Amino acid sequence: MFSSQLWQLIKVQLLYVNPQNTKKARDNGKTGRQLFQALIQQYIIVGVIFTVMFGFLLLTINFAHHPAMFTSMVGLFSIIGLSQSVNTINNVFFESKDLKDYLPLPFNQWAIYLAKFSVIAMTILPTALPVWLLFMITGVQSGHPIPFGFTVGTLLFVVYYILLFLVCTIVVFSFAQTKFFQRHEKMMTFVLNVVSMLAMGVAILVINTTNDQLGMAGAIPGLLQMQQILINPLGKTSLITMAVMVIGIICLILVMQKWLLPRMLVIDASAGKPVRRKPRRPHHNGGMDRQFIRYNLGLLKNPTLLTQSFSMTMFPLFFIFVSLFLNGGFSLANLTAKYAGAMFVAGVGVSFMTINTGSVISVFISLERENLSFIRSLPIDFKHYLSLKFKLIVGIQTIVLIILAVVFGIFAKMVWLNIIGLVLGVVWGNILSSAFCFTRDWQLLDLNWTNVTQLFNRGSGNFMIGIIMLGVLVAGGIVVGIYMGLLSSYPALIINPIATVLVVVASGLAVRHYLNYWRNMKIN
Amino acid sequence: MIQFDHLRKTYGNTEALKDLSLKIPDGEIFGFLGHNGAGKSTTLKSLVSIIEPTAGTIQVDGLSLEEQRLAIKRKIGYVPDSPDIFLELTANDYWDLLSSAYQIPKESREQRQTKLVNLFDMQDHVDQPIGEFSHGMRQKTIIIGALLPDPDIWVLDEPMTGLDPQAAYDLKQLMKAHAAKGKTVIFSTHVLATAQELCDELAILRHGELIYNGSVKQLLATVPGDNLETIYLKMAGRSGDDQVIGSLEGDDPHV
Repeated sequence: MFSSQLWQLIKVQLLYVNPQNTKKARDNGKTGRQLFQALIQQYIIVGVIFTVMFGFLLLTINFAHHPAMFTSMVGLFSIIGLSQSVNTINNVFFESKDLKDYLPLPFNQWAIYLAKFSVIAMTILPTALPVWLLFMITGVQSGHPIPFGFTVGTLLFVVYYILLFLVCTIVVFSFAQTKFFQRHEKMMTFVLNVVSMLAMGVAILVINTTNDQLGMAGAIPGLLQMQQILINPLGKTSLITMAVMVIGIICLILVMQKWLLPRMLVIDASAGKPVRRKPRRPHHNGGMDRQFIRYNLGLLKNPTLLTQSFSMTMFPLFFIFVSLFLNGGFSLANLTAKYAGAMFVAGVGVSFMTINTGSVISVFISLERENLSFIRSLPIDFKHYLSLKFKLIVGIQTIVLIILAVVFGIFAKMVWLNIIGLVLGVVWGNILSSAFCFTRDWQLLDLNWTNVTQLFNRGSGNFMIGIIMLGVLVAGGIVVGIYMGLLSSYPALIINPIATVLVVVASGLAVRHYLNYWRNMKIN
Repeated sequence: MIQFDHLRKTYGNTEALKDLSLKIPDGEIFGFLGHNGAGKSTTLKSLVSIIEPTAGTIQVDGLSLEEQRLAIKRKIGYVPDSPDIFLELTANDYWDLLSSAYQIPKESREQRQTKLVNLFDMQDHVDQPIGEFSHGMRQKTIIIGALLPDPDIWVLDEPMTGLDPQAAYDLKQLMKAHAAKGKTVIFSTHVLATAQELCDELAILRHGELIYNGSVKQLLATVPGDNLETIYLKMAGRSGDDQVIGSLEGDDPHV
């Protein structure tokens, strides 16, 4: 009975963890058993890709003779695993908010937990597979027969993986049970997701940029003993290390079983209880616009929305910036003020890359769901309401983009006129790109979504984002390159006015297009 | 038999249930009536293990809920007040999940499911995610799920909300048929005509206190009033309603 319940619960959790893949498979007519097979196949494919990709990389290094390299690799993949785990554990246990739905059902409580943990383990396994390969390769490189090397590597990996998994779980559970987290749940979930995402990004960048220097660095204490287990499994140090890891696992399991898990259902069941809140300052005479602004700001307090949007807009930009500065020596100090116009164009390009179909503005109308229909029925100017929404979100994006542009300008040691050019560029690009995204949201309006991911997948979804980013990167690079080339060959007094006219004409046409679209829209 | 003994539930300083003691015999349709916040849902949620009472005990067929939670859960089929659960699952996935929880044999499950799906006209929607359903369709999905194990006790929290007239009629027939088999049906409702039509016995709650427990017939016979609505309003309602409505009619909201 327990195993059949467990299997059924695992199937349900698989659907919850993979909403996009589930939707795709269902759209392809897959249901029931076929659907679950398709989802499991996805895990296998990702696992195989990771294994092949990192397998070849790891085979080129002799880890038995380079302990520093070994520990660095374990450390880096552990950070990636940690960030992935934190994210998944939070999604499965806290974001899904389904624990209370199981309460009236005659399920064994441990079957529910076990199902959730199994799916989490399956989800993060691909990111941990390189460590498994690393352990097996090191085992064989140490001179042991292949079967023995593989066995020791696999055993160590199992212990390491359980330990990593338990540490992540305890961190997330303990954090989630603090009053601070519960009071600021949405914001803290967003912070947790973004921090783990950034940690993973930086770890990948470090792998890529410092690969050659790893051998020179010192071995990380604590991880070095793992290499010893693989080289000399029956040595005193190895046996002690293994014993410490196993005892650590037992202790962590006890902590989970005695203190953290039993409080989970209680916490979740209390979700509907009245909470004593600090009395709010009454907002009298705020005016309708201010009420609507407050309401629309409330719509943004959705961790999934913010995380998805961050990952599709800011994260790639952050990735590019960090990689530029990580390589060292990146500076735009030698660009004089005559390049301010080129910086303006570059700023427009940056905005086009950042404010894309993955931005909040691309879903901001649909986010309202049935509230939008209700607002439409109110005796107010609906176009004015939509324009208020547009201005609000453009305003927020403008502040974020200006901060990013100024920080980039300072790091890149740009002259202040060029920074101003860049700032004006991101502001103008933001307005143009936002007009496109906002209009697209209206054209693809969906008020019946259940998961915010569905909104980002409308139209051509992620493919569209990729195309826009790549297109802007290539086309923007060419335009800025030509502009800067012309500026270095011809007088700025001739090139800049021509460029200004071109920008004004192109922007004017775009603005006119969108203004006409909204003016002619027959909505009251 | 279900027995609530001195049940109390508090949320901070708010007392949702105040010393509720009550017995529900087998084979009856039992209704809970009361205004919003009277304690109906809290009582039902305590019975189905969603809420832990602050004090008091609940016994089902002599078993203590605190000690035999899983065994008691197996006896109960529950329809929550909000059908917005398991939205990512299709109706079929949801019923699979319940079948596994209640360990329903495949054959009997298929037979019952087919009958119920046909009754509620859901044949074309079984492989559609619940999240894409209307409120009424979600309600039907949950009702079918609750009936799949043919539970000894069927608990329904505001079950008529969102159902079309045909589905509401069918549900009432199902409740009657379930009780006719000697099983217990417990539900809460604001629709007094439904309560009058269905209930063998009812409990009226006000501010967490039990103000009436007995048969509908007895209530109609002893308290003066044309029907359950007028009697209920006399017992649980606010006095001076006519004056309140009269004063509202004189109001100018634009002043």
